[in-house]
Amino acid sequence: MSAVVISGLTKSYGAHCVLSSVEVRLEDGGIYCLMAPSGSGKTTLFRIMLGLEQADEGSVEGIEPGKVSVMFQEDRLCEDLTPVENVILLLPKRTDRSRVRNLLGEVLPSDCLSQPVCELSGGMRRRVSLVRAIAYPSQVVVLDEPFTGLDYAMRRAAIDFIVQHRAGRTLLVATHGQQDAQLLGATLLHLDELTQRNGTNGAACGSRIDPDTAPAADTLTDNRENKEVD
Amino acid sequence: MTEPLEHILAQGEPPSAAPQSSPSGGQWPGQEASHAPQEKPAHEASHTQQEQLVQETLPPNDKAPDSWSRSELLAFMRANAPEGVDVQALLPAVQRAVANGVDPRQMVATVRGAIAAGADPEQLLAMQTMGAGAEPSSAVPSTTSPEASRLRTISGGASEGQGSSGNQDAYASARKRLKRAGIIAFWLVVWEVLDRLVDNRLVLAGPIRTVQALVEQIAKPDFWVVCGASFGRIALGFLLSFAAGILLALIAHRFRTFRDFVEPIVSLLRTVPVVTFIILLLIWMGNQWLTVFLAFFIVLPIVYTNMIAGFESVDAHMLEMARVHRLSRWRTFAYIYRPAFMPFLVSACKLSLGMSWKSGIMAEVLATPKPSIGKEMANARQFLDTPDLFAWTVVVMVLSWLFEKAVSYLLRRAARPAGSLLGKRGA
Repeated sequence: MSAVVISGLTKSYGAHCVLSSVEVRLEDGGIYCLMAPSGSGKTTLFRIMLGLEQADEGSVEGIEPGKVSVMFQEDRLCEDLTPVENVILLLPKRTDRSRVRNLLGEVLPSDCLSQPVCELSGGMRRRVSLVRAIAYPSQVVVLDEPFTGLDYAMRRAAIDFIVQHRAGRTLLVATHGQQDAQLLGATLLHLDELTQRNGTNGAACGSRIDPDTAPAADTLTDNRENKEVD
Repeated sequence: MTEPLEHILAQGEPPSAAPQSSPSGGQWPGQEASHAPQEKPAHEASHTQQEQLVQETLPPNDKAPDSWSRSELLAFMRANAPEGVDVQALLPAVQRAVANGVDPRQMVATVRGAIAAGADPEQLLAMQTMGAGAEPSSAVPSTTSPEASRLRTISGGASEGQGSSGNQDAYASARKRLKRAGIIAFWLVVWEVLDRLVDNRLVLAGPIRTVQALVEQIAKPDFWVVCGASFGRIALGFLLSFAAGILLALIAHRFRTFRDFVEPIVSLLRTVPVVTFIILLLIWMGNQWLTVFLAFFIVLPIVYTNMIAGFESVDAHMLEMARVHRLSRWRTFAYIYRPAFMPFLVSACKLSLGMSWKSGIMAEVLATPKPSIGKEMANARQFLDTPDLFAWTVVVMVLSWLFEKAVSYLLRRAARPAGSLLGKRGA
């Protein structure tokens, strides 16, 4: 496994510039929280990382196809299947059902595990989606707003679950909550600060952040050591 | 010429209304019963009563049914048709019937019998030319009859009743069923009363006479062969085109260019009248394979368009999820595509099943493949045997209902969530 390096990533939809020369380096096994307001291009960045979208410019290195698992902003579950079946769907054949059931049992009441997910509440579905992303054998885990719709206690349980089952994988979480990031022990990344200051690279997208107020991207990776939990 | 006709009319008995008493006095002057040909035309074996009448009342003729020339036919009809019938106007219809293998002697006998029973020659002409005339769909008039809707209510009631649980529910559903049964009984009585009031077996056959005719048909040794042949043809055609429709839709969904090429053909198929297909297929395939291929033109466009819509209804978000996590093709199909398109497939099935039976039987009536229900219906028309027509209509409705039940059972099985197949059950 190697670090994920995103360099010079630029993406625009028509005249609208979404990402402009984004530079990030995610160290192998690090935990990162992407703090970004809605509509700032965080989902687009994730989609490019996942290979669902082509960047106009720049590259993403260090993510092998099929070796990244994701929890989307939407649940994206198979409505007719039970939580256990939804998780096991992405896992190799002959995966033991009882193991998946135990995993789900850590964040969900056990009586809902045999119900089709269309009968579950929004918070339960969110957790199923989370367990599915964590259970998938990947090198990088991307979680897009994993804690929406969860109350404080559930949030804590979900964070504990993530930390416990991360198994040393690189973790990239998009969230609004500063507290969540702290509980995860994550390095904070601010999307608008990831844009490179070099004027020639950012020229692809018209308006850019003032170079003086944006810190250099590489400083972000330095202060993560003291926050590592695992 | 008029003398024999009067002779017949003097009998006062419509030939098939009193089938047991063979018209012994109904022979033409100077003609003995022994002159009648001994061998019966094989293709009309089921209509022995009428045949007997023909043999005994008309001059013998060893001609094969399809070897009549126009002038011969005209002369024959002039000589034998009853008074009041416009022979010239009837000739095209008779020619067509003869070309389809019907013995002109039988047609004349039928017309005579009908006139004896009080039918208007004009009306008769309309009925006889029906097969070649403007409205072929009227060849199966009873598919929209009360019987059809009743059959639907019965099946609907049965399936509705299954879901309920508890005493209260059971009681309510029992009451509902009782009420429904009462309504059905009411319409049956209305039907029977109407039959008694009209009291003309050419116009209407009541439930009792229909059941009688049905029992008579079922007693015949080739009844099941006839049913099986029609069922087999229509079912085979339906299943083949069903599979082909799904396959085409799958390819069209994958390859945009293919879809662009197929689309105009499919919309063409949807707008071309069914009769055009029947006539064309009769030329291309002959009457035996007609219904099998007809289903292609009826079922295929419906299944194709519905399946395309079904594939388009697949959630793009779920496909992305599958792509990122490298879900296998099979699992993507079974767990993401299948739940999305099944409702479309079920509705396509319901739509095309009824249509394939209606048009299939219509095609059989026009093309008279042997053996087939359509041929039996065509015979019923030929001999103005309304109870028989009703009886065969009931048979068609029962068969199509059974087929629909079987297909929808299979579809329900195919639509079931298959999550239990995933993973290994630990001890």
